[in-house]
Amino acid sequence: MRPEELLELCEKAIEAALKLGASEAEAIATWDRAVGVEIEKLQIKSSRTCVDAGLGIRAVLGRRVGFSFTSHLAPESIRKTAETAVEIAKAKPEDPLWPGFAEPAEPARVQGVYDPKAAEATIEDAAELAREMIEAMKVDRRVKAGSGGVGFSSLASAIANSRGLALSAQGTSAYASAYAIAEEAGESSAGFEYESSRQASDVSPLRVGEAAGKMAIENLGKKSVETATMDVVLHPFALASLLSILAEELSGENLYKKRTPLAGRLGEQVASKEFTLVDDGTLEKALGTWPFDAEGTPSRTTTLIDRGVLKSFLYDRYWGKACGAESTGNALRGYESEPRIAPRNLIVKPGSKPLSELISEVDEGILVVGFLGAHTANIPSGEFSVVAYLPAYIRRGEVKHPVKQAMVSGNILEFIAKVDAVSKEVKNLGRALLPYARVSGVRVSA
Amino acid sequence: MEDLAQLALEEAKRLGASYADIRIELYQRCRIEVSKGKIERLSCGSDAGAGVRALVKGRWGFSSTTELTREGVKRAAEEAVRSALAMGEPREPAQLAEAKLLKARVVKLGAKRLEDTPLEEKLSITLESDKAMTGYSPKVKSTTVLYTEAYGRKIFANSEGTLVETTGSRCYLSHMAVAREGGRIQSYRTRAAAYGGLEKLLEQRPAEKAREAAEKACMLLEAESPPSGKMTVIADPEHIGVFVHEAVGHACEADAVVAGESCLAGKIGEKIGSDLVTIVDDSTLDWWGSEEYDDEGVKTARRMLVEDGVLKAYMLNRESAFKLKMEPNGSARAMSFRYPPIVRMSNTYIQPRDYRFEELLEDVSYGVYVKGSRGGQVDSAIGYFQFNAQEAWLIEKGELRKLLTDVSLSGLILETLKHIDAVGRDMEFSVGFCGKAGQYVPTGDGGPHVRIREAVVGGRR
Repeated sequence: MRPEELLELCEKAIEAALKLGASEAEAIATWDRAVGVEIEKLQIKSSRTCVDAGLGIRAVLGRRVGFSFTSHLAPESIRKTAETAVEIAKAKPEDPLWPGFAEPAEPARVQGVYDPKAAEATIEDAAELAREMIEAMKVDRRVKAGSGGVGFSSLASAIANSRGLALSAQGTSAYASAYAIAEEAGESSAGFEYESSRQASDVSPLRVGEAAGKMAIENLGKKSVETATMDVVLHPFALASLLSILAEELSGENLYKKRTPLAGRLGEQVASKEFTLVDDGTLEKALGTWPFDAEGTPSRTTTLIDRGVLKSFLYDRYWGKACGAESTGNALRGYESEPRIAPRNLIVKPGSKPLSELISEVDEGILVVGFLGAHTANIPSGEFSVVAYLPAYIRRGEVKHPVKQAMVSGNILEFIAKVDAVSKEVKNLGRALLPYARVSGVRVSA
Repeated sequence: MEDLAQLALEEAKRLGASYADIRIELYQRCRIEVSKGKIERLSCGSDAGAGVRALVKGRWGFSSTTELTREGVKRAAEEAVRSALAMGEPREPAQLAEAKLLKARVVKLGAKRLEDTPLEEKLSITLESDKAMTGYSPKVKSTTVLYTEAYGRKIFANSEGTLVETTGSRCYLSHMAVAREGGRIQSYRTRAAAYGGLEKLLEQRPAEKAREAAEKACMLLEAESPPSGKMTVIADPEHIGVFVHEAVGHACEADAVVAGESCLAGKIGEKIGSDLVTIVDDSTLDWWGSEEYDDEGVKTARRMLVEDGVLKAYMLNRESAFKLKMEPNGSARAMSFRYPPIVRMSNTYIQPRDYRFEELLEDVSYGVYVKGSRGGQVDSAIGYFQFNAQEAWLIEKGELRKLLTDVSLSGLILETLKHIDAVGRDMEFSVGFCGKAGQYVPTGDGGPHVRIREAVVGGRR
């Protein structure tokens, strides 16, 4: 569906809600079509073409807000959804914090969100690229299995409200992910790589396959290490995993509810001087980029932590008002849910040293590609205890061998305070632009 | 809806599919979120659509749509076949193990039906849980109670003639309490959930569970930092449930086995754990993770995965069953019509033996007792897993000495099961969701108290 058609549906939904007695109303509608090919055991396993569309309505009675949604876009369903939204508003109490819907505003100018090549990509194109990726994964005869996928999607969204806001946009995305398994002398090891962008040409299945295959080979020959306190060099994937915890600590909702260790620390030094974190809803070609957020607030760039100093939290309209701040354009949702705060594209400012120097300066440490279990972090306290995924042992400035088993634990704030260097190399993770980061003095259990 | 299903299947066959199936779903979903006495989010809506799978010359194509019309499902069938054909000649063509032809109708709505229960009552259940937390202590500074429900109809039909219609409902409650005192902050989560009517959720006494979350969060304010390194661990039923799920369950999923991504591939009949280890995945229990028929229209079952330490079976869908020359056991599940079914667990547990808790403790000179969990994660291929505990106690000379804050554990599948040296006589089940390939499905897990020697504890000291 075209964005204009979605906008028309939104206008109809608003009209229906107002007719049913709502004092204000807002509607969001999205449509997306995705094609993708999945790989298993180094062969194409299955492919899919999925279309999803739907509409969500927020109806307001004074200061009571009701929400309902439907995946059926026929006029009678939309009317019924408006009715349910109004009914729900009646069931809710007055909310003194309700900020009202967004006033019409000029959306952000964003570059590279829509790529005709990705929009027109067929399942045949995805299959062809998947075959290339499979070949690239076989860097060595020891690569015995591999899975992953290649795909493209097209997305259109619209949002409108009774204050006159009416916005729509369209975009695309492309991704390639590979997971390779190597075997030698009864030992299995894994390698992983992922690329995504709004532009098809930014994603190279060939590069992804080869990197995963190489990483799997490099991880053969695992040895045990002893429990000790040492330096940890984080691969951008591992940093992204920790940032998923930090993003929760930076949520305006968690701030208001005082369930983040960052509450009350605005303007304070909360991280090391090496650490600067920015959320950018306008980053060119990135997956979190869109002209507006899910409430129609124009997208923007927000510095969250500047050389270690806490500058801002992430807000949508509701929690922004609750905290006495403006929305930072971080309301996210599909058509089936109410807005929730989430980062758009996270950027950690790169440093001046190359990765090789980050490693050569380490006396004892591990280099970690990712973490298992970051989702089990204790968000209110910031404590986490996770498994280092694909760790390699560093001794006297050199990567010595992959490590059999290691756990890393700490507090997210302690971690960012102990970042003593970030690399000048950055990796584009689709929704994040991240360097390698070195954290000193971490308890590593083995 | 049945005619739409037949239309799609005929279209897929006409275009060359040797096998096709369709799932049509029509669900109502509601969600309530309450925090410190305030209803913060409340939504209800309808979610409907269809997913078609087509097997063409040994290749799978899948297509889903939210357009539930004749044209919509016909197009989905066409796209599924086209997707399959786009893939080229496969090296190992997919084939399906035989499945019994079925015509079945399941109604699982319980006594207190969600559809007939007014929204006000669900709101009051949610608010009552919240009150149980906020009322516990002024130290409880923040609470979240989340109630979700889904009810409706799912139709499965395949080109072989099987037709299963399930009218079912699920409801779920989670309670999170955050306690704060001075600079210290702690949290605890408890859950209750039911497949069927609301009475089954209420049987689990959600308000008491909520109070428990508040009590634990406050108690943990006094906790010390946990130790690190290899040591003896005693896990409570909730924690051991996550352990079996991560350490054994995932590696027993036959899609990972045939893909060469499970360290338990080719190990049927081999001893992988101590004699005390018997692990079952049971979809026939009256519990949260169960279903009567899977998303390939196969009757679900009780699967004995590990018996007295010996690997006995995998969880199988029809395709992996064919490859492994085994019988499908109804383990194909999809999160919704938007996804193709993949091999999943239902309710996974370790069977109790005869140890009393005091006996488990007796022989431990130094270790930790871990309770509850926020989940875990595994890489089944390299056989490495993490599982989290919400609460822990330091064990010294056979006694629980000090309360410790939350900590995670890790292990290697092929080593850790051999380190289980005592299994308790109690038994308890928990509820949760399992994520795999972007699909979240309801799963249950459980077991007795279990002792594991040489688990790695990821503490701070």
